[in-house]
Amino acid sequence: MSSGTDQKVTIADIFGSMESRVNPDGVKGVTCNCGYKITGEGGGEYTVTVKDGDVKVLEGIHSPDVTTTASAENWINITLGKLDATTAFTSGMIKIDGDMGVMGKAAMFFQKYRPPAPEVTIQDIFGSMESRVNPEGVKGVTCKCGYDITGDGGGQYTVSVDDGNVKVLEGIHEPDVTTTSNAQNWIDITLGKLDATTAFTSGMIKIEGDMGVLGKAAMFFKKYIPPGGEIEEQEELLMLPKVISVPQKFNTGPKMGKFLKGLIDKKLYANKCPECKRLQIPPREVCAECIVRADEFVEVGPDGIIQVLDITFFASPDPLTGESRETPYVSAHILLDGCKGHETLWHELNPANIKTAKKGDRVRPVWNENRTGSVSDILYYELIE
Amino acid sequence: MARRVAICAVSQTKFVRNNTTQRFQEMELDVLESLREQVDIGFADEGGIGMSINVSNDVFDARTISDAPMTDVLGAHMGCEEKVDQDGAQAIIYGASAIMSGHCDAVLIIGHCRESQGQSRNMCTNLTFDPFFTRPVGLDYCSAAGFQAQAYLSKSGITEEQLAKIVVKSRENASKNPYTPEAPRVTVEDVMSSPMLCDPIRELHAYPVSDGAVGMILAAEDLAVKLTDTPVFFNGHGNNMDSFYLGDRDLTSNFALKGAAERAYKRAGITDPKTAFDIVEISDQYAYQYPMWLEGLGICDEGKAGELIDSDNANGPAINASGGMLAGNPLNLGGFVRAAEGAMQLMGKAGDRQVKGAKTALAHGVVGPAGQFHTVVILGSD
Repeated sequence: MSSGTDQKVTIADIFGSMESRVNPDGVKGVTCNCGYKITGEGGGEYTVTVKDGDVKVLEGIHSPDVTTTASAENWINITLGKLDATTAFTSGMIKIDGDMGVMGKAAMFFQKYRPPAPEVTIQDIFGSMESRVNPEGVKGVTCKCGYDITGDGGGQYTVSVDDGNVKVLEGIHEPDVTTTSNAQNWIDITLGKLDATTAFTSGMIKIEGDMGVLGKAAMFFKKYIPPGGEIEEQEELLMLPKVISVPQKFNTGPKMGKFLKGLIDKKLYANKCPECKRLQIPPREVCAECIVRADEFVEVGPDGIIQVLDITFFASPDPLTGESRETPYVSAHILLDGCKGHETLWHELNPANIKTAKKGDRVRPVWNENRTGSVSDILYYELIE
Repeated sequence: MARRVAICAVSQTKFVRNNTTQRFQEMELDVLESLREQVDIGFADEGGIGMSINVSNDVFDARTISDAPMTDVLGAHMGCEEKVDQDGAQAIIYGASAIMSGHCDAVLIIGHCRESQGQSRNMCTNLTFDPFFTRPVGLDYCSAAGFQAQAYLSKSGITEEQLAKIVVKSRENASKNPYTPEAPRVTVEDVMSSPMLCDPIRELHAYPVSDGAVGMILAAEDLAVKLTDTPVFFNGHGNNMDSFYLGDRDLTSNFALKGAAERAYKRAGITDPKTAFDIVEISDQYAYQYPMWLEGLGICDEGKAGELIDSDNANGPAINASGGMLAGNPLNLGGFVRAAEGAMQLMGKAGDRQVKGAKTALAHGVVGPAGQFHTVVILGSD
């Protein structure tokens, strides 16, 4: 998309900003006057005076050592790097009278001119959303995402998607998920200057409600282009969505196999090192520390105590279904009765215990009625009151 | 002068279609225990095993960092642990380099693969192609080999009967190899009537789906001679990588194999590969590769492999006395198993398939579609 018209690059701004763009190394020890006659609409006359490194930009022509004449449009293009100065000179688009040697030095006087930054507003980001809908991304989707953009220039908006039909409303209206961010952070995320995941994990933005909906929301809209922000036409590059999947059958062997089969009978087996006597659960072929086979099984638990626990707020989605498990969930390393040290077993805790569970609490397994010899044969562990 | 390196012990499991009784950890554990029965060596930074290398592949194992679950059984817990993918023969080069440089005195290398685990090994090798073009068009190592087989047969004049003879010979040799119990003897007719996979590759032309593990212990010469009476010296190696894109390659040129062989021969001081070896073990994943790789290695002249097949190579080295890869071993262990077989022959421990008085061996490994990456290892009893 080309929208250079919104950009306010003027001859007055180019010359007016020069004193703030002085390159100290470029003007060091230099004394000269360079005149500029910029013709046509928006033109003007200026003199850059350098006196032993001291730079002043004056209006009008004042005893120049060299004078450059160019149209306003050509001079703007040269300044923005769209037109090569040497080409412009040799093709007669600009004229130079006087000491050419001085001109050579003048190229180093200033740092690069940057056009005034386009103004990006929260209003424009949300206001342009309906025109940026990505039909593929909203296909078959129905949800409401609320945005509470705080601080200077903020506002409240709801993106309402009804079976692919998108409306952006002011205010928060019965959202499935609400994102809270200050205006500056939200602008930076929109412009790609701030990574959304980083912003979330570092607490710069807050999300309340159905995280799964937000995952879809990332595909609702095409990229936001700030007013006058993109001068160059950018080629849209393709991204190929693929799923890598090779169905597997994992043989469990006599150690892991014994453990998994035990779950069917509500039994938990660890195996014991014949040398150091430590237990491993789930069991493995050897004791890594003693480098010996560990063939003896010991029944442990099934109750135990929480040794360490953690709450997960951001579950990674299943790559095949795209579905994420419910969050937050709490999981723990459980020291089963009969085990010691860090001979712990990992499992989930009952979501109902999320607020109260703590290190040292006693827990018991809640068994799945339909057991097949897998980790889900235990639904979760729960606190023993 | 770098230290010399010797193989002190080798071990392998049987290579079978579907090992349902063990996890791959236990397959490697069997190999480790067998190796440690052969030589009395512990794990130690000096004078012991100072580095453990696991040969495995993330896609075949369906887990990333496929060596991570192996450290326990490799004795690499709290030790120096490394991984080599591609062809297992590369791990020998890696381990030998660590010893030559003086970083380690001894290195343990064990590799595993279960080709039976995924629904199809072709689904696994399809993933080695780029996701944009060559993967979606359906290339895998078998279909890529089909292209090369077409091109090579047309250039060399190798016939369907000769391809069948290669398989018959492989199975005959394999019948004396206790590690390839599931490669029954076949007739030329059996081979020629077996189902077509990718013209001209038939089912019996392809190495069987295999599960198994293989390992060896390498040591510096001064340590090796204390550990064993039959050290097998690592006398040189070479490898060479061809283009990733099949379309960029001259599929019949053997450029990469010739390059790998040239480097190995130079390092091992070999001038005439036709007479230099008692044992030649090549990774023939498909029957057409047997003559093609022999020509590339200079074991026979270009265009003469057909004669070699018909004459059963009566006057040359013993080629794939083990049965070769056609008798069964997983893809990523090809060159590693070939080197293990070569070492067993030079140790005089090859049982019924022993070649009398064998003193020199060439082991060849290859991975990538249609012979993209070749490795040549030269072994000698001195």
